[in-house]
Amino acid sequence: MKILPWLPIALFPTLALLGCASPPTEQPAPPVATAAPAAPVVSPEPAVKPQPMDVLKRMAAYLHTLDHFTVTVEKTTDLILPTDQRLHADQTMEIAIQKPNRLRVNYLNLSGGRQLFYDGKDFSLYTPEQNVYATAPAAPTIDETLDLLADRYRISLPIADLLVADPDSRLAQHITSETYVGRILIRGVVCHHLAFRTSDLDWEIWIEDGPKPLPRRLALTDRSVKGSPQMMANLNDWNLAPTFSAAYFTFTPPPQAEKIQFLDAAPAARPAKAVK
Amino acid sequence: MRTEPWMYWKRALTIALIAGPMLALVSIDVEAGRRGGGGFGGGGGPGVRAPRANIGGGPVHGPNNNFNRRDVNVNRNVNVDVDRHWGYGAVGAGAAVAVGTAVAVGAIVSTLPPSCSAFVANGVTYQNCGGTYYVPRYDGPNVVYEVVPAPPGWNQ
Repeated sequence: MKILPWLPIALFPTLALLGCASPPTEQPAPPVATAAPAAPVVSPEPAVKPQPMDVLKRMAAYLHTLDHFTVTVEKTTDLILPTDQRLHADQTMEIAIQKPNRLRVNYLNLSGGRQLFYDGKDFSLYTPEQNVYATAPAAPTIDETLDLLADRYRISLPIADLLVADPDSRLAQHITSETYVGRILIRGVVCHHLAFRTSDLDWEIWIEDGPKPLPRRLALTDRSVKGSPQMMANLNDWNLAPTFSAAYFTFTPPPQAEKIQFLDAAPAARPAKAVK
Repeated sequence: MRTEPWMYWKRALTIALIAGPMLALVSIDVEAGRRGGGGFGGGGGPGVRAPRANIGGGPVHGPNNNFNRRDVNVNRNVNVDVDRHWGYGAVGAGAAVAVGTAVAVGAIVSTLPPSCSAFVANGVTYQNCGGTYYVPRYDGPNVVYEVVPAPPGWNQ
């Protein structure tokens, strides 16, 4: 008799477990799936572990063969505030390439974005939000123009190393360590994961495994900056057979758009104390 | 009248209340006027640290040239190409320049102070913000505003 008061307490967990385990019968049966679940991706490991530099060079050689393509880059950049708080700044850009001397980048953002045009002769930057643009002479090739943009105008495309005619010449330099990490799925694509180090940079690249060794992700950790901020860029929606309209790479200023100058080219009086 | 000990604290507090904001404005002005070294005019703001945008390395301008792009970028003289958004804009370069504060010609701000009036002179759209004149420029890929002298012949 004395045990009876404890009986409900002892039974309760058991009943609760039973309730979880057996589905209530009064509920309708789940709808029959009309499509079979996606087949799991199975890709046997290669018998011999690939050499990271071989995989990298294969990608570079493949990119070299591409005459024109579009790719969407979604990048996240670490920003370390003076308080050491870390923010992640996202940016999406659509890149279109027609070798050797056409480039267009659509930067997407919530205020209208901006566009970069290179038509083989000039490059232009257009910001619809302020309805302003700037145009300056460019170099004869995409490679030289990317350098010009980065060095003179401080416009750096995050994956510029992959857009040049010979990516190998940019990537496989000053490497102090190379690692074949393994294979992994990136957005459903089987990729080789490679890791490299230079004296002040750790970088990783994920390259599609198969006949089209495209870069699918790029990540770098900049050890030369306090706090070692990182940048990660996903390369999505590769289109290797796009069709471009004749004027796609040429900027035509919209009506009312105002031409402005780059800061460094502006003739305005500059105080001598300006820190350089 | 005898000076009470707490009077010193009152004076100190008064001085702090007046001097504090003034120092803050001075420091903002200095940061707003700084350019080049930080290079975060558009998106980053003073003191914001960001990684380089590229792996790069290797000769850029030909195999015999020792010029190395990375050596340039080590100076962080690179525009951090990020988009401003609410909340984050508060750390943008010179975003907090107070209205009526004297801003040196050549200073760069990422956003205009409130209550500016636009006018066109010599084909350039100026913004007159309380007697300080701004024109838009590209700092890297970002639109910023540079403080310029009033256009010739312009009377405010």
